Amino acid sequence: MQISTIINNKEVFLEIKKGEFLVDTLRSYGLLSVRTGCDTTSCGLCTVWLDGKPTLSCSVLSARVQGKKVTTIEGVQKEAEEFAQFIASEGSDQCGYCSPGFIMTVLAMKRELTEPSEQQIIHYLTGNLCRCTGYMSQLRAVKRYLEVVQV
Amino acid sequence: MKIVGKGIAKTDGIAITTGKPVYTDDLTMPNTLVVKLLRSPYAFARIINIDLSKALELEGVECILTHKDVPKVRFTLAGQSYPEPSPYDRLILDEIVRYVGDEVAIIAAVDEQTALQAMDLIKVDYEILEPVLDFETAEGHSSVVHPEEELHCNFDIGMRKESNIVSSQLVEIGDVEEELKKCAVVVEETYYTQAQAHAMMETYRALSYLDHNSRLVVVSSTQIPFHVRRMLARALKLPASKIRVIKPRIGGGFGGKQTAAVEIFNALVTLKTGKPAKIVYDRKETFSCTTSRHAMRLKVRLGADKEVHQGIRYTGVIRYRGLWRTCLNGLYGGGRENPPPIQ
Repeated sequence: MQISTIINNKEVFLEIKKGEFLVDTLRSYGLLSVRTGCDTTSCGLCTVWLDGKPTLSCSVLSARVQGKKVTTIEGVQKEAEEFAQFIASEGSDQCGYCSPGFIMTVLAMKRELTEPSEQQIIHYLTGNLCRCTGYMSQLRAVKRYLEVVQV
Repeated sequence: MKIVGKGIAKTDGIAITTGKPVYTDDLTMPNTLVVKLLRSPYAFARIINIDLSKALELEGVECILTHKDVPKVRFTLAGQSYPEPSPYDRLILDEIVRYVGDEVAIIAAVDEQTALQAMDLIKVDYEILEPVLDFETAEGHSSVVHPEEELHCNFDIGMRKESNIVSSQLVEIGDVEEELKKCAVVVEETYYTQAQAHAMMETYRALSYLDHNSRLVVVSSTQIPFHVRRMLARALKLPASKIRVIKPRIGGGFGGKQTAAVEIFNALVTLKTGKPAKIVYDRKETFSCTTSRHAMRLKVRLGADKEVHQGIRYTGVIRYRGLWRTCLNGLYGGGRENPPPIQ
């Protein structure tokens, strides 16, 4: 079947298979930042925005994004790179595999919460697993980034 | 002192964190075959017959390989240097399956959906055997996990395959019993550790193709590209000069990818078909069909004087080795009845 959707501010028509998930559709469309980690909706690696809300693309049927707005890190590349500078300077750019999903969640949080407390940040990011960092360097990067951008 | 004491950003930090296509599955080329593996539902069984006729009729199926199609040379997937202490005990596919999840057939198709459909159409008859499920009962069990004549060790590792013992060694300094007798206090305890998965974010995966010189190129999410090249050379009966292994950025390994897992399957498909092929393990396969840190039993005897807070220590370790798993001492056995639950 065919769906029409807006991906990174561009209207596109995509041919999808029955039962296809959004992560696979986006990857075949060439958006390779979106990856599967756990297969069970628990790691946050495949996070994209659906109408601006962070969503796990491994568990959304592609048919359901008909008429909706999908945003991947490729659609907010400049902003992502700004935040990535903080990730890099805090040393939480390790294997990098979970980072696109993590960045998408942080950028959504930035839009949703004003001056979040450390507890609020941790709570907002509980769905983004990382095996390398132990989370402390990520937390420092988020806090420093928010201090700078929210002034 | 321009560098010391200062943080240095990683050269590719911004690229990898912002989603640039640098990992194995991002490098797939057009028309790459998707490889899936049919796995055993039994912990220990002999394959009597495999009926591929219906599966091969399915449009989009490129090839299905079974134990009849693989080179008959045993090898190890352990990532160890010369002289490779782990025994050469496995084939790419064997007539005997040794745990729930052991590979039975390699299916290559134009896409994942077709490969999975073909998998459902394969009929396998098994002769179910008595499995060895617990390392504490492996020694002297009525089932011998690896009885094969052609199983090979590069040097004496203390293997007693008829007793399911992969390797054993004794390292002794001084007379332990004599010293313990002199101690005022002797404590003896037995401890158990559980198996542990490495849980890297990027599961095991590999892509293979033939280059312009017909050389086999394998792009793999591995920590051991040089070992993988040597293993593939043996397993596929190819000179190492005909194999190139590329390790791109990997999404974590944590020692798990210090053992090879998947490359033998897609590489064989590329050799048989001449076409690019990729294999991507899902999380369940990564947990249940690749190497974990093994469960262990550790027996410790500790002796001490009353005055000096240091005595002598004698440690005995039995390490459950799983099947043809990784390094060091242990026992064969432990074909699991059921795969562990996915958390």
